[in-house]
Amino acid sequence: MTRHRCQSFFLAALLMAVLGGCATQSFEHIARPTDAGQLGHARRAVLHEQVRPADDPLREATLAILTLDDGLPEHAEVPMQRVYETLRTRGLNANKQAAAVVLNEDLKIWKGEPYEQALLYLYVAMQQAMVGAWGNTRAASGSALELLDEFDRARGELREAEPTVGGYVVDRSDLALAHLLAGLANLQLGRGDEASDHFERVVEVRPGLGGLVDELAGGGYDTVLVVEMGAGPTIERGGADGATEVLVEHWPGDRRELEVFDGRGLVGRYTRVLGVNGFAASYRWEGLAGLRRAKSNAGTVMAGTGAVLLSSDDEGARWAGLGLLLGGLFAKGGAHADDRSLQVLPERYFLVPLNRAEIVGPIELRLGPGPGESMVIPGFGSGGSEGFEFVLMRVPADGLGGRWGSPTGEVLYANDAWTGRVPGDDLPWILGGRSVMVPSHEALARYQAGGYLLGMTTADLVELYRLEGIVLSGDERPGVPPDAHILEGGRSMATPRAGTLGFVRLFARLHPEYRPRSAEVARLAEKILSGKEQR
Amino acid sequence: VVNRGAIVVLMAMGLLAGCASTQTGSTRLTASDFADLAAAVAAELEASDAIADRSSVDEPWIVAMDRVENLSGDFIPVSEQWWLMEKVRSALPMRALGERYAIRFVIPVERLRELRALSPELASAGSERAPTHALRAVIRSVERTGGGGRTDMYAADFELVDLASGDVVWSGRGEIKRVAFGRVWD
Repeated sequence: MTRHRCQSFFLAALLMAVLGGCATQSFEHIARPTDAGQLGHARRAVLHEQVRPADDPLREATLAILTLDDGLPEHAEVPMQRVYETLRTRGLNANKQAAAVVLNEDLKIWKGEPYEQALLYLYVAMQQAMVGAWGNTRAASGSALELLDEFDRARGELREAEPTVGGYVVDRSDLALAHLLAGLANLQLGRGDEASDHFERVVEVRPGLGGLVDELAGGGYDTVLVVEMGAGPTIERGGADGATEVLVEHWPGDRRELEVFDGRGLVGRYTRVLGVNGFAASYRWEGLAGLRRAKSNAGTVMAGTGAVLLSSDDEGARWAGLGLLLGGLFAKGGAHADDRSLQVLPERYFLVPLNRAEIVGPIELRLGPGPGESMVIPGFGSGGSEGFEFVLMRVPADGLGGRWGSPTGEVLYANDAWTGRVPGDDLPWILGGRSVMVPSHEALARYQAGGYLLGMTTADLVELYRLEGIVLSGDERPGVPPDAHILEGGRSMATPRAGTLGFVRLFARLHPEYRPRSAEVARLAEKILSGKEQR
Repeated sequence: VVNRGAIVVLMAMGLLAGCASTQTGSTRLTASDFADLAAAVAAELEASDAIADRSSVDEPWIVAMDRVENLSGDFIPVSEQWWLMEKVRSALPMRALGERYAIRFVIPVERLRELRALSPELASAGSERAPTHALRAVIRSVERTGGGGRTDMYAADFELVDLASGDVVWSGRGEIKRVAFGRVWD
């Protein structure tokens, strides 16, 4: 082989290696902790991951969902706002179309497929429902419906929506979850007519949800529990040069009903409101799919021709062959599909209206006997809050058995989201007790009533946490979701809402004892343990 | 050869940049929209007969505000719903309103609850607040899509309500139109 040929093959191999190296999937590594219900660890991993600017919206969306599903709606607000801003920006990638065609598609700023966009709007709607901002729930669920209607119109599925006599427009999309959220929001805002229109649309497109609609429209409940189950589909590359976007299902889609039990027995059976596998298959935009395949085919022809010419005895032909080979490999390397997708979506959603005052003991959700198909929720409805509540419960897709995370079915750590008492809650967990209440006047009063920390002020108590490097609410970085909770090895004390996955994972399962980081806290804990700090 | 290569690269860059479109944007309300709206509404309120007809010896009006109610198609964060009302209030000459027209503004009840929750010593804070009037606002919108974009027409309706009688003693409106082009899903 001549020197020229060696150089040519070396260049080609280098180019292939570089192009091959570009194929990485963002946030792929968080799928496992997410499916295992370890949302604090998943959130921490996302917070610490360096991403390209084009992937920032995906990072925000992932963080927002992980934070909301962990029962921290207030902390999810800023990422959700950023997500909403991205979703509402039209033509975000209008000036990247040419670069996406010539180079590759993942140069575009991530905005997600239409199904992901619609679901993100619904997460914004649910986050706002959890903080009681129902006007925004109405707006965000309406945005999901508008998006789907506009997308459908663009692909020739006409569904014109006309203003009603009330002056508002009920979009014709058949996304039942969006209509149900819009209906609920309108009920909360006292807009009964608009709520009825949304509920009627649900019955029109999904008659099987008639019972749920009657329940929601009829009142008699003070809590709506949204149950998320399974692992949603993701997008992967398939076909020659990865030029085809393949929707990969991770949980089978089926129509089994969710059974809800409490101490009284069966509370109700609920039909699935949305299956993400089917929805995702219907709402994908493959705008550049044809171009990708053409690039891949052209690249194959060019590279093949180039390889043949490289073995020619004519130097000019060899140079031309090298050019064709490189051009072909370049085209093939840039033909891959954009496989960035939300890794944290569930496969299905249920809506369960409940009356907190009637609940007896822990609630059990049961879809079937398999992993991720059941969950026990202790402490539900005993958070001491009044008024209407909207709660999001993510059942871990790999959660083993109904008592996942809650072997006893009881709350084991006192906290600020629950008014009950547990043995050992008269001492902070960082000093050997079972209280993870945020240091406050009330928390100190409880400890001192138990005979501990006498003579200490609230400021002294706060200082103990600061010495440990624990991040309290006033010290959190604005707009950044919190680190993992101290109970799971992090530095945050953000308290998840009762009835959420974060609450169950943190407060209803035993954690290893706390190991103080500072000498002061270690000394005080030792003193308490040895009985020198007496009640 | 180098020059030709450089030209090709520059041409490619120019081609890519040349495809940049200005058809981007959002029809969401911006901070400057809120500021303009607040200034216009405050000016309207200040010039209204409801205030002009009053004097310093009239029965005082104690006005409480609530955050703006969002019935538009846009997500308006709760903090911005408060901010709009605060902007209206801050655009009004508070001292002149107090001295010439016997109108005072008090903190909203939601803020009062938050203040009282801060510490037991503040449990009776604002006990003499006793509002006589409420300044309320609702934002609505109408959306139209088509022609490669979307238009949102926002209208903010403000009302000053006598809490005892329920009479609307003043009402004002501000409107904002926002247009954006491009595909919403791209």
